[in-house]
Amino acid sequence: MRRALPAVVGLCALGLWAALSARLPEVLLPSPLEVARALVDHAPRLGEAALTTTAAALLGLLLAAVFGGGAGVLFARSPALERAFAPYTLLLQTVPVVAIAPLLVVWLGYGLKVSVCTAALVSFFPILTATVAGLRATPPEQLDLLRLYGATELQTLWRLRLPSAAPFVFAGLRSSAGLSVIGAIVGEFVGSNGAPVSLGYLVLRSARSADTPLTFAAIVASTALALTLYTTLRRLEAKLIGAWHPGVT
Amino acid sequence: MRAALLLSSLSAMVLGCGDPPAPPTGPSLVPVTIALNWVPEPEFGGYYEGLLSGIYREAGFDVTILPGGPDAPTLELLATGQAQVAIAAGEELLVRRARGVEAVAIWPALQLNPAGLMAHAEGPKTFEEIQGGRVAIGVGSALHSYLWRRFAWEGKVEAVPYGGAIGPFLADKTLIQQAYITSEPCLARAQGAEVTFLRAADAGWNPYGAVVTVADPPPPWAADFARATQRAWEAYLKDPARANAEIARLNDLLAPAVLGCISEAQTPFVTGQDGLGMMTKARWDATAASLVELGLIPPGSSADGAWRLLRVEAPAAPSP
Amino acid sequence: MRFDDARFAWPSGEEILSGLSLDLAPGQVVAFVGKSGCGKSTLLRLAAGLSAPTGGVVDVQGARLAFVFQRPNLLPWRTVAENVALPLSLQGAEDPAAVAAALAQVGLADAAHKLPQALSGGMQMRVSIARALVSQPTLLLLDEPFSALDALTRARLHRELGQILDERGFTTLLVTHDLHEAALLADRVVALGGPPLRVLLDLPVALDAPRGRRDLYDPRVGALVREVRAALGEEAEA
Repeated sequence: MRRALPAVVGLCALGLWAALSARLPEVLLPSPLEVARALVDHAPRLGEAALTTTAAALLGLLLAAVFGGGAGVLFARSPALERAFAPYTLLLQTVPVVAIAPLLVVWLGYGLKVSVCTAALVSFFPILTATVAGLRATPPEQLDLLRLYGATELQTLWRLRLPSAAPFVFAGLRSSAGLSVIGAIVGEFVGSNGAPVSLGYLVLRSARSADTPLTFAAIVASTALALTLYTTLRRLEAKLIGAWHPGVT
Repeated sequence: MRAALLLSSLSAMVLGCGDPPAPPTGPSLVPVTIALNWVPEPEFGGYYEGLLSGIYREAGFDVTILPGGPDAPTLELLATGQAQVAIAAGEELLVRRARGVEAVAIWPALQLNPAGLMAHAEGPKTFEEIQGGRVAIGVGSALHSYLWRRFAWEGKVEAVPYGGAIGPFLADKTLIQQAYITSEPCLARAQGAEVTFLRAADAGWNPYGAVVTVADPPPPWAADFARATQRAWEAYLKDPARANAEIARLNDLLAPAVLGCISEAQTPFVTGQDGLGMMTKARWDATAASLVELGLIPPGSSADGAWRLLRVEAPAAPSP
Repeated sequence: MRFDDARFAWPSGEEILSGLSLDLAPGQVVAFVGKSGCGKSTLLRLAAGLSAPTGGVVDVQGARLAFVFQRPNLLPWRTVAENVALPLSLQGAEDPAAVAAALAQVGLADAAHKLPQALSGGMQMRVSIARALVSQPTLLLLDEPFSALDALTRARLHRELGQILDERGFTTLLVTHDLHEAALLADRVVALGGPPLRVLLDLPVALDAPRGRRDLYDPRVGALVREVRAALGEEAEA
């Protein structure tokens, strides 16, 4: 029953979509069938585009994890450092990615580098805040334990603070996973010149020529991509920390 | 296993996304990258013809064509050395020059400005007939400012943002939208719409449409390049088949019918009233005056130094 | 070890210790009893070096410390054996044999590779004791170690810990509010009042080893418990 419920909701939504699309011109809302046909017709192209966007999102997420996590460790260690830099990290989150994407093209040239950057930009902040929160949430009595046995600062970080922050960091990564896909696609709107083809490029080009079924097919592909990224992270999380951290299925 | 596969294909993508390996270059060839301000389409037909026919190579150039996208910062790519030749709109060149970008136009690809408005066939036939309703346009663009000022549309005609998708136009028979002769009218016709294209040039907005620009001061090869470009475009206008086939291969999202439609529709805009490759002081000065009036460049700015008619300054090139 | 006019106050100025002096003979098991909030946990933290006195001296004379916390305080991502090995590995002195011996001593040799969450509360507490034993301490600090356990488990652990203390002869500080626990495990019971912390009563426990539940019915234990209770009760009324 619990498995059936999402399926029922999904079917209802699909039905609503089909009914609505019957009353609207295709350029506004193509029917599910037309979108499915576009998915099949453009399968190789969509596959290639999805791979490009996956690479951008994943690499962006990786960069964000390295830099966000690293900055998180520094911030958690030094409140002065956090006070000094926190306003500017917030800037990173609030700067409109679309606005700086053309600059990224000038600096980095067309292609993957731009979308990796935009994906990293939007993913950075949630990972940073999650890491700081996680490192600050180390139980004090466990810190006492390590102090008692003469642990060095570095030992405390590696053996206690980081493992105990891991569930927080994973939560941050998960919320960044979907963002990284959006970030990559926005970057591709400006930074992709079609070589290699990417989902953002497909959305843009198909919308321009009113090939709405292809637009929707690209949207379906990006949604599938975000979901895959999310569930992969879930699995990784379950594998790495699921044994001791409850709440991971 | 699946993860390993994904990883290997990912790394392949990362490695593959770098610069393509440079083709072998003869010792005397000048390597030139042409940065386009949009994806491969017929508006760039002449450059592809120059590449494929060997016209550029004969003139001493090893040409690479770098496709662009929306808001392609081609003039900035000149400054970073990622391109030696940039395709840009004439008014864009003047605006950027006023902000310190050092670039100069050496050849005009589109004599007549390709911009305008696109209306449904049952809608207005002239700018003057537009007395209300909504126009989808790049809000804040030079064309937007110019038209609203020229026809006093402020408060009468509503400007709504144009994001590059023609779906809303197709769905709304009363909507008017910004268009380039090299794009939207043919895309709309391919979707079965009957449209009227109102040329901005007829309303007095007539900057050179797409100009070939190089760094300022121009490199020593600029005149040779302008002349080779002139020959390449002459060849393209005579027979666009080869270049169009290449464009179709590079841009397979563009339906063949649309490609043919654009290639045909743009021809009068390429040759213009003064003849292929011609630029006049009067036209450039008029553009500068319009931009000053719109407040897009400082008062007193002129187009002097922004363009050079290199193709007639040097002795005629030997015919290929 | 000894406390000599030891003082401790919070930055807020609240005084917890205002000059406490105590001597502990080597090998002596001392139980500190008192109401919660009287400052007896602070006493233990000072002995452990987790807090520094704001005045006076807390001298542990180079003792190797081990601390058993109120809760098992295990790291959930480390197996039982890895948790027990923690004090050694932090010193870079891995010793699997010592870990196995410590686990055997608390009867958990079979659970070495389990994660803490697979164990009952009593078993986790035993892991915690094994972790304290593994570093061969000379001063053992116990902070209400069994207060969170059910009565049966607590009784069993009293017996086991009593045996270990008899065998190994650590100097031991036991903080508890269970008077019977104090009587069963300690050589000396110190009743504390406060804050600021002060000694209400300092009594020896004159029972022979090994002690067991039977000793709870010994009249000497009854007398001790009554006396301490009276002292603590007076404190409450004062």
